[in-house]
Amino acid sequence: MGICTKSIAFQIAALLLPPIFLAVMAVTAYPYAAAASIAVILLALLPFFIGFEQKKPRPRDLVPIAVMSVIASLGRALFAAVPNFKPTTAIVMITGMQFGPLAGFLTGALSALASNMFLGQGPWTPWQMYAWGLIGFLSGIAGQRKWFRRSGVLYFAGFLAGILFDWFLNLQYLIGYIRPVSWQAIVLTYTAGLGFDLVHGSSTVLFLMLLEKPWGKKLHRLKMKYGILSAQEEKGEESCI
Amino acid sequence: MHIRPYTLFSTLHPVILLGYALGAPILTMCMGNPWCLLVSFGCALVMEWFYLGEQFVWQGIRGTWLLFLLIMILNFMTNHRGMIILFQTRTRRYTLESLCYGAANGLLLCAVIFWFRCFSAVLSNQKFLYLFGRRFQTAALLLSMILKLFPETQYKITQIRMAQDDSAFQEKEALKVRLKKGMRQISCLLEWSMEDSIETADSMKARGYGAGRRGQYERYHFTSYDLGALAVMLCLSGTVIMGMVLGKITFSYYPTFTWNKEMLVWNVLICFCEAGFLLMPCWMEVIGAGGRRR
Repeated sequence: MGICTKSIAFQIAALLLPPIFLAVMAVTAYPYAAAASIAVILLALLPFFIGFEQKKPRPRDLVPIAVMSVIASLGRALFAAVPNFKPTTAIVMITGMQFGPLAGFLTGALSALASNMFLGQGPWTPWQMYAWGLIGFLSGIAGQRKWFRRSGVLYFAGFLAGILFDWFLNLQYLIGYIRPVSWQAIVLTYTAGLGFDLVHGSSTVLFLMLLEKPWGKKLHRLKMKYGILSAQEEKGEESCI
Repeated sequence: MHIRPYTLFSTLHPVILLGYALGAPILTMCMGNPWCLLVSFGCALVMEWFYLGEQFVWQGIRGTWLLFLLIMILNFMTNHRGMIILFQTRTRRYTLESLCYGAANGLLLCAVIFWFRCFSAVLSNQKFLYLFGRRFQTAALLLSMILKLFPETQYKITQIRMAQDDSAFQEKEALKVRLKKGMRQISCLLEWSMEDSIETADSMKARGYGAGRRGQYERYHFTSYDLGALAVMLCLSGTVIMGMVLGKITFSYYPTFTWNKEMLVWNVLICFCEAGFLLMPCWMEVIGAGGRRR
């Protein structure tokens, strides 16, 4: 357990790094912010992937993450006709809640990467990887602590996650391409996208309402029956995923 | 999807391809000079046409012009530095400089988006996995698993639809019924995929996953062609970077447009080198040198 808590503390530190750097870049109107912000975000993603490598996960821990990422990104492509109506956030949250923070992070990050292989990569790919990874990670922690036992709390968190995801992605344009970042620019950008943000938030709530109970039950059963991504490894060691 | 899957450039080592695919957008993002930016945008269009075809160019332009306008107008509305005043209200003024600055930033964003669209054409998924598969074995495995699962899952969706959909010849159903059906189908998909994934995992274990070093699907060797291409790329991009670092192509918008007029020769040279670097796959194909023939 000692190693687990230490690595989780390290990962939380890595997740906090980009917001600080982004704020500094916005305040100082750093001229190369478009490139630098992507670099900072990629650096923040690195500890998770390295940590995942070092755990040497078993195949049974790997494949469910791949399956959930595929369903999450296919869902995104499926509803691509309706702007910003996507089940990905909800699916990432459910995965995080059931399989823990690291699995949630990987599912979120890989869904973003994989779905963009079909919908088009862009400078936003690392931002989406970070944002969805963070959503999965935090819902993993919340799931472990049983904060989402009341569905009202879960739906509120889902709504917030959908909106904050969009707000975070707005920063990409604000910090990278608008200089200086004045409060008028911030207000204009965020009011322009508010409708889309609300669609994302409410679609997340909708999918959470419809999917959380049945999928939670199914994933829980899988966990129990096959011992995937569970605390107890075959060798008797503790798994942190 | 790509109209030119095999070019001379694509026969080079994946490291070089990655250097080009990442180098182009990064170089563009660091550009402050509008002429260099225009060159980069033009090259991005040419490369998109070269790799993906005319249709994709138009599709890309349709997808980005609104973003360009948005960035331009946002900068114009919220930034009032500059000398040449276009019009004025009681509280604030709107200047030509901020309009041009916004246009340049919008163009920068569009150019970067176009470069990223070329990314998967330049560096195929297989090569991407080759590059990162060694250090990030598990993540690379996950990614290739996801790529393989996509068509499989789509097939499963059609199968589930065919098995469960009894409404093919019926009148349009109520939203609630359709939603319920959709949810049942997506739940089936989850169960089916998960059970399959357990089978995959067991079979992986049975075949000794994690027991030894993992090999690569394809092998690449660093040859003299790669060395030559690397040297050319470094020369061209190095000149551009040197020019940027030494401030030969500095262009400032505020308080009014200023650039170093004595450095015109430098500006032309750097734009030329930049185009040479960015259009490398294209001119290699035209002169027919620098890579192995298939």
